[in-house]
Amino acid sequence: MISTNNLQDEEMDPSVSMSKGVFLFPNGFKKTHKSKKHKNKSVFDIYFGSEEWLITFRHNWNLFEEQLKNLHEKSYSVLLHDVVNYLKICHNDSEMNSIEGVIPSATLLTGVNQPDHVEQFMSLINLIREEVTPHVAMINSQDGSTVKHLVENAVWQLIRGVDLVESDEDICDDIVDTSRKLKKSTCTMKTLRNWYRSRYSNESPRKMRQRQSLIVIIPDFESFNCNTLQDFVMIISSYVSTLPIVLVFGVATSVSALHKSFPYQVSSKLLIKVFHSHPSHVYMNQVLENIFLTHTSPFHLSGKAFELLTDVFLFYDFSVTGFVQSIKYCMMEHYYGDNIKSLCCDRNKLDNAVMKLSADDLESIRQLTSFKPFLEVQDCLTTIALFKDNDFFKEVLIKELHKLHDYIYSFYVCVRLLSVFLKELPKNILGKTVREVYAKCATEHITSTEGFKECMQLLKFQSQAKLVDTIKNAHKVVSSALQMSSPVKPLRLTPMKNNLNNSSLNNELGEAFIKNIRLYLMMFLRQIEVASNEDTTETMNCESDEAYDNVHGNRYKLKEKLLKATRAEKLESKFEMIRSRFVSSMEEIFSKGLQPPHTQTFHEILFFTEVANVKKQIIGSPRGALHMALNNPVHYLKCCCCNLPSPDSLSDKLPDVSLAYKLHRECGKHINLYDWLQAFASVLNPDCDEENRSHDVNIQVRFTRAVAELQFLGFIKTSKRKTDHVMRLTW
Amino acid sequence: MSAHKNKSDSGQENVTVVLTPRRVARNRLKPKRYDEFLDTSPSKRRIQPSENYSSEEEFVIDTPAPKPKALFGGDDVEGQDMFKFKSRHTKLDLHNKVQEAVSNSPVLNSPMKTPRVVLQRLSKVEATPRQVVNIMKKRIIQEIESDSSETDFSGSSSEYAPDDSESDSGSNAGSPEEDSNSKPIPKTAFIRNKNVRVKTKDCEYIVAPDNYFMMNSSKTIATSDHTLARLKTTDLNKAIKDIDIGISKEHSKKIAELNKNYDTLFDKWLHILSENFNLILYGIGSKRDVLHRFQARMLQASPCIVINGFYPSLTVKSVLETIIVSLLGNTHVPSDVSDIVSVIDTQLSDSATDLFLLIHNIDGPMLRNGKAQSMLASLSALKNVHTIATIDHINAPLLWDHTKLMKYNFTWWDVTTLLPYTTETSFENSLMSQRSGALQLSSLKNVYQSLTTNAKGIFNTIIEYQLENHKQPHYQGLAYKDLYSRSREQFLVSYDLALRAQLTEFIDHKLVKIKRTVDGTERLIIPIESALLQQFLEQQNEQ
Repeated sequence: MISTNNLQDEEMDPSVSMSKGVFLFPNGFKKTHKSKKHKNKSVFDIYFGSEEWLITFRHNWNLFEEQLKNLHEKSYSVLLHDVVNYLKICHNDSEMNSIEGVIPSATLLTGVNQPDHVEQFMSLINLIREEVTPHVAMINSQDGSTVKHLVENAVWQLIRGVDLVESDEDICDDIVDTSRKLKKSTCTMKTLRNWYRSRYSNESPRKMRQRQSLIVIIPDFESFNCNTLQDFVMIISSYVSTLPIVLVFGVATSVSALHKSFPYQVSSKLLIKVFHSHPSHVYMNQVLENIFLTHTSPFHLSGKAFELLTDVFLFYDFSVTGFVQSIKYCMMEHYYGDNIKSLCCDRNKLDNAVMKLSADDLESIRQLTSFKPFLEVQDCLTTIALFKDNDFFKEVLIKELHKLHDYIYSFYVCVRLLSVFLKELPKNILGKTVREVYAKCATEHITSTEGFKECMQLLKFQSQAKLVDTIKNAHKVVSSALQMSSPVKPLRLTPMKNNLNNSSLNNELGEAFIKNIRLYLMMFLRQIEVASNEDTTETMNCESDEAYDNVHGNRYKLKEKLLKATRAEKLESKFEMIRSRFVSSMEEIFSKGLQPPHTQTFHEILFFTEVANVKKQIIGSPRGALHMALNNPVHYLKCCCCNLPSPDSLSDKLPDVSLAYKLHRECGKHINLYDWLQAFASVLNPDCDEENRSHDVNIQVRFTRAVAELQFLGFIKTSKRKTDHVMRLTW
Repeated sequence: MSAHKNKSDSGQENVTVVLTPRRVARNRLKPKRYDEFLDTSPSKRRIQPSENYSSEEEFVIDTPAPKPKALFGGDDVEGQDMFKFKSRHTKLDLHNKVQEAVSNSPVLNSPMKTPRVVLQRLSKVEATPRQVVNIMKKRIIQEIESDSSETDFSGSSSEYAPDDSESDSGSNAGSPEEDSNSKPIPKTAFIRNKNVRVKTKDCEYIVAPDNYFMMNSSKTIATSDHTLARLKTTDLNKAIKDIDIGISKEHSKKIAELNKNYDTLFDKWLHILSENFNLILYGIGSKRDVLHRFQARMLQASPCIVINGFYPSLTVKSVLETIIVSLLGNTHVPSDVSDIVSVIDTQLSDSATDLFLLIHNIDGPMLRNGKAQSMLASLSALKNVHTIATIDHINAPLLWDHTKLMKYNFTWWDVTTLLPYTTETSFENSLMSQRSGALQLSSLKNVYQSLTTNAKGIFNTIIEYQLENHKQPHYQGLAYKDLYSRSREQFLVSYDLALRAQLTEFIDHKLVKIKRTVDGTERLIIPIESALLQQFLEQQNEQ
């Protein structure tokens, strides 16, 4: 049935041709610029219009992007300023200019996560334009395949760069004309020199001294052809006396790459200064801690999803951009087509969003699995009301969602708190960074795990000085969290007060809980600081005793001493008492604050949980899918004829390609086509004798097609080593 | 030497002291390699610098190399299934496999299964919720059966391993009756152990270098000398057009269902595209139809460009020309990559149009180079260009490095259609149809028919000579002098120049090749297999 359809399609299909490979379907697109005036809707708007979930998603994502941009600027500012400062001085410094034909150059060690560097270099260019010179050129490897291209591009960008910046200023008309007329093919170093002279020779000698330098950035050093770059450097070095050119190399691996690809006569022309940028995982931690793992972020990842994304980062690409894109994809999946996800928004807009929900949306909220445990604790009347009365349900929903936000608030504070404590501990039990701790806490009840108990045990052995430090840090974390939320406070407290009954205050998470923690911390901090004095003196005495004893020790004495020591330790010092009290109270706090998200009512709305859906799209396993389809077609076909007793076995019911695939896996590097065909035929047609079965045209055609498809898929290729043999390309 | 090495290995290895030292060495190396592989994994290196030197040693002992926690799930295909490294293949493997398939009906469980397989399958069944319930039931029943059979035939289960142990198969594989009723002969402990060892070796898929060299070391090809010439050559090309062959009714129904399922994803795909992700579709089967339906249903209102990556003379330039000249109405394509991209970018965003690129087989032969891919990647990275691409080749993902992948920003979709690659392979010189020579034969015929009778005679002379003499060990072709004298004898040509003129025509049509041998004589050879020539001659005589 489908095959006939196929045939018809093929006949009508306009995109199959023996003489053409590219087909255009303009679909009403016109080249006129009319479309500018009457704004035509894009395809996407036609299909999705303006649904609540989409609006919320776009809004939230734009927020994220803005935050990312800010963070990006902040985190790279130090490095970029260093570079810029160097670029500023390098041509005015008389010492550096002393040697003839040496080009000052900066080398940025950027790390292997190349996709992230685009933004880094863009902000570098902006900074240079602002502070150093308008003449900047950035040349990617794809534009610099030959020296000619490289020089053309560099010169063109250097000359044109001025226009872009100074277009508003009034420049002499003839200069504009020259740069307008400039064609890329005429861009040579000579043109550049003439242009530079005409531009700056008129200026007064005082200004001549501070002439604008020309900066050429080569962001991906390793992808360039060595010889091209060598020639380029040599050319520039011959001009450097008249043109103040500075080179900036972006090197992904290490400085040695620079030395390896430049022989002595080239590298002697370069004055290299090296700048180090952050390793990418540091940047990723920053991104996570400041943007995604905060209570202000409207969208949260469940532990599993989070683990998946960090794994992709750590084991596959090290690219923060890729990581952010994966988060974006998760977010899309979370919001897609589901109106109740419009509740996954900023806390201030929550009330509004709930009010906008339709009855259907409310119904689907009632279907959420996390709603069931909530129902179980309610009494009969409320349960009925929850199902019957939409307004009441909305009220409860708002209340619960605020509770959820409170929970998230205290959850993140506790995660940070815990990571502060863990940072000081030996070993790496739960991880040291916030993201590792978060991944653990979000998947399970962290307080009931072995690792957590061990950590608390270790905490009990910490020295006073260290503990005081840690508590101070912890205090900082908590108070900064409180500061961040305080402006929001009056807004959100008003609706809550109406709904709150005072009895639940004890279980209340959120701000009150955090304030409590701060109090605790302050209290213990003071107590420990006070207690520390007596304690240190005691231990000092002890130690001096031991030192004395050690001088003439025999075994008996040692034993006695150890016995004494065990007895002595039982008398807890004041500090130790406080310390163990502190630890147990911390344990209590954590067990309250660090309940995993999936225990909360309506967590599905704010937390993205469906990892399985996104995993295949983010990672993709083309080879696995091929193998699965060939080795076990039932997985896709779901037919009842191809059930195999074991994944390795054969049957005549299998699709032809699958059969041929399985047979070819039995062969070595070379496959005899005739034998393969024989085997193929004898599986399909076991009763015939060997001579006849392969002469069946039908079977030959089927086999031919299967082989052609395997060749198309890249499992085999033709071999010239022996007649009628093919080579296997896999093991 | 071997004994010493074994001591350092597991207890099981101690039994196999008898083995050749070479093998033991190979076996011993493997776990070490694996450790090294883990030790140098990048995340480990990432952590180390933060530790100071004194504590580094302790640190290394404390934490084993971190392993991905969420990357590999239960529903993934096992790596060892795909990349299983089998170092020894024999002629009889294929035969055994067929015998196994023929002698056992697929529903009955063969007693030769190893427990490992059963376990694996059990876990697989749990992990795939998509399976229809009755299939599950059937499988469970099978497994119970197989378990019981496992205990019944425990003696034979390890003794008969179908795809390994060359010495065993060499002795008994030739006789099918021995295979079919695999009798539980109690074998000696030595052989059983050997089999167990081979099994474990096979499932390693971290490839040790030794294995690779082992596989490629032998110069001779250990396959039989059969050729396809044994078959009667028939014109397969006609029959191949008929699609229905070999697909059962049930399968075609299921395939149709499978394909219909993908239509439900269209809305989502469009949404994903709108957020500046691109789509890549993988999985076996032609994905053209799915893309066509997507285009027909969702993209009627916006400009699309369909690119057939499998088209053998596709160029990136033609793609760019279509976009810049045909669609955007410019006069020429700029020469520079970055210029092209910026032109397309500005013109598309000025007119606020979204351009869709539908690339069938982005891994097609003409797109398999860095330039084409980086061009397509930079196009796909544009805000107003949306790419939907398909891949089929198993090594397609190797096309892209970090930078390209980031530009493409793909989301991966498993779109297994199991439809035949009719259009895609129509260009390809398929192995078999090429071998069967139908194409060569027909082109030979066409050229031959347009020749003059004299020229035909000359050509026949060469063919006959070649057929008579091609079995000589160093056949070099018919000497030009001989051809001249023969042709003269038959009154085909009268002077040397005329023969030359005829020959140039043959050479232009590649019917004949001229070789100059060491002694300076010109030799003529027809670069077509003799079996084909014979057939051609017979056909000509019939006419």
